[in-house]
Amino acid sequence: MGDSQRDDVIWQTAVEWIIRQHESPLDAAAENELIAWLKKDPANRAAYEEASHLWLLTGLIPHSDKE
Amino acid sequence: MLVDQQTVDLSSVFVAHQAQLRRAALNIVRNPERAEDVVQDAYLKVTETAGILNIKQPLAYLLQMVRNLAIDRHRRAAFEGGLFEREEEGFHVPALIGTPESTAISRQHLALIAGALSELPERTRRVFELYRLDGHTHCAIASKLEISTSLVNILIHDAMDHCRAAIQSM
Repeated sequence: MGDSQRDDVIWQTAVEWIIRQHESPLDAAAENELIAWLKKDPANRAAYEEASHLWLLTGLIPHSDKE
Repeated sequence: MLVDQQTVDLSSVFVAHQAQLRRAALNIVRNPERAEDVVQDAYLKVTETAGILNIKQPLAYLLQMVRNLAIDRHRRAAFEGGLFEREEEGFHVPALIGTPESTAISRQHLALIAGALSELPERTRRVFELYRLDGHTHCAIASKLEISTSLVNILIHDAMDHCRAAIQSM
């Protein structure tokens, strides 16, 4: 895998975790899985933090007009 | 847009509806102290972000903001609580996530995200708003828009990818 492909896989995984956490609190098994993933590679953690930050920002944008 | 006028409006709507905003936060975090923190945090963000966003319904927007911050805080508290317990068991986890207070909202980032979301195809934006802002599930969105749940998930990812690209292009 090339670097950009690898980066994309990590990013998609991070976003998927954010989506799962948005839906409901993780159960213990999923939480362990997330923690293991975060500890495995600093790039995972960086992507997760980036995705968390983006997620928070998107929640501050008002609805678009729905005419 | 009358930037200063909008700031004044949002702040005064905030003050006028503080009790309602606090209740909205309390419904989610279920702890008066934490609810108060959320409301304070929301007020700070309102002043920080003033003038960047075109807000047509101030009260609806403030409620949305408070709910989102409350959910974010609640999720973090649950997760970090889990991390802490593990550390006590000897499972060492470095501090993984910044606290909301340390997550400074950059006005520039916010403007870029607003721009990125407005560029999304109509259906993608709709899905993302229903999911992110309105709290609908994949299933509910899928049946509302008559698309598959996997497509809903793909479109949520698309929206996030586009926001990320906007920030990275800075």
